[in-house]
Amino acid sequence: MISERARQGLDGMLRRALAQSEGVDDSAVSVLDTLGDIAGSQAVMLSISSFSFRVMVFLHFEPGRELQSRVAGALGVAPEELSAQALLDAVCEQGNLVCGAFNRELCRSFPFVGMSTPHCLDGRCIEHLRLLGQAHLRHFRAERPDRPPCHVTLCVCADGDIDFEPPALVAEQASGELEFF
Amino acid sequence: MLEQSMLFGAGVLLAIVACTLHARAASRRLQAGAAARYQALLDRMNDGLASVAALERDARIAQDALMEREEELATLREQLRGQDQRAVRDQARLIGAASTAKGCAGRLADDIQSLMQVSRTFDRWNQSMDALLKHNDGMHRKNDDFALIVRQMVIVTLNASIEAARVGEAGRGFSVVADEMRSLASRANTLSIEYRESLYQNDLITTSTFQDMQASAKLIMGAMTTLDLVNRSALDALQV
Repeated sequence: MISERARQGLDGMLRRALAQSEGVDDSAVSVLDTLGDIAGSQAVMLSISSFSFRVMVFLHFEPGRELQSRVAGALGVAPEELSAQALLDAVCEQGNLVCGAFNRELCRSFPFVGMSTPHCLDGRCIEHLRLLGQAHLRHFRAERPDRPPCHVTLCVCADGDIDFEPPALVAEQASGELEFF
Repeated sequence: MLEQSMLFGAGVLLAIVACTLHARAASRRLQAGAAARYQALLDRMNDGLASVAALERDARIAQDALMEREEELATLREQLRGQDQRAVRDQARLIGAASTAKGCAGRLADDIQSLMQVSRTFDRWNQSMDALLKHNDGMHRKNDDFALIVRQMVIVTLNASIEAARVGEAGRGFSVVADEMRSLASRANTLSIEYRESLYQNDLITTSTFQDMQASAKLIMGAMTTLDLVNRSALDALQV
């Protein structure tokens, strides 16, 4: 069971993490009602675990020419020279940035947490999140100028009650984000 | 001559009398002065005696107070002696406790270093889970191949049914077989789709379990690193 303020706290943390990693204002991040509103046939998954709960973050993406040329441009190589693994690594790094920023915020309320490495999943896996006994599920969209929006799903599974006072906001620090997609 | 002698005698007598009277008067004055000085001396002596008595009283009071202070000092000395003895005993106990704590912290440091090797267990889990995820990928590929074959089978059996129908009465038996094959292909196709969904579910469950183990392992390693740092600080403090 997750209290309402804990849900809002977690949503706020992910909203800020997404905005920070994408280099946009918090107001550019909105909440989506359903998974159907999300574009992307694949997703990078990362987990943050604590003693009584775990948080999963899914960064949705669509492999294709548009993403390939943007990543290649960011890496300074020709799109045709960009390998599938290099593309996947870049997407996973973006997932690391989002989840890492979320993890840092979470550490302020829960000192004992650990974060996984990213893994790529087929987007159809996300339809089965109920199998994990989700206690809180939220989809986010970050609107970015001159680029397609970025979609992120937050899923929280709890072994017990979760309730915490969201910590006060701190001044953001530049984290050297990769503005790939 | 006689008169002269008598006059002389009277003069002498008068002189004697006068001297006697003068002497008596002088004697009285002297006696009065001596009495006054005696009285003054007596008064001063009495005053002195009173002062001495007052001083004696003050001296007794001071002596009493001094004795009280000395008794208090003796009590304090006794208390300090007791405190010193307790302090010596406490110091000995503290030295013993510090030695024990140092030994415990040392053993704890050794245990922490041993437990840090749990990272090898985590690496083993990672390798196993990686193998499982690759196995899942292989199952996906096989199922995709299977789905492709099943779709081909559906088309082939459909063609077979059409061909059997075209032959007419002679193809009736073959038509039954073709229909049955098509039904089987359709069921295989349904099964393949369901199996594919199961594989997606399997991917999610496997990956989430793997990541939970991986993240929890990092949590444990982080907590142990913190514990190690605290223990090292305690050891450093105990070395002093």
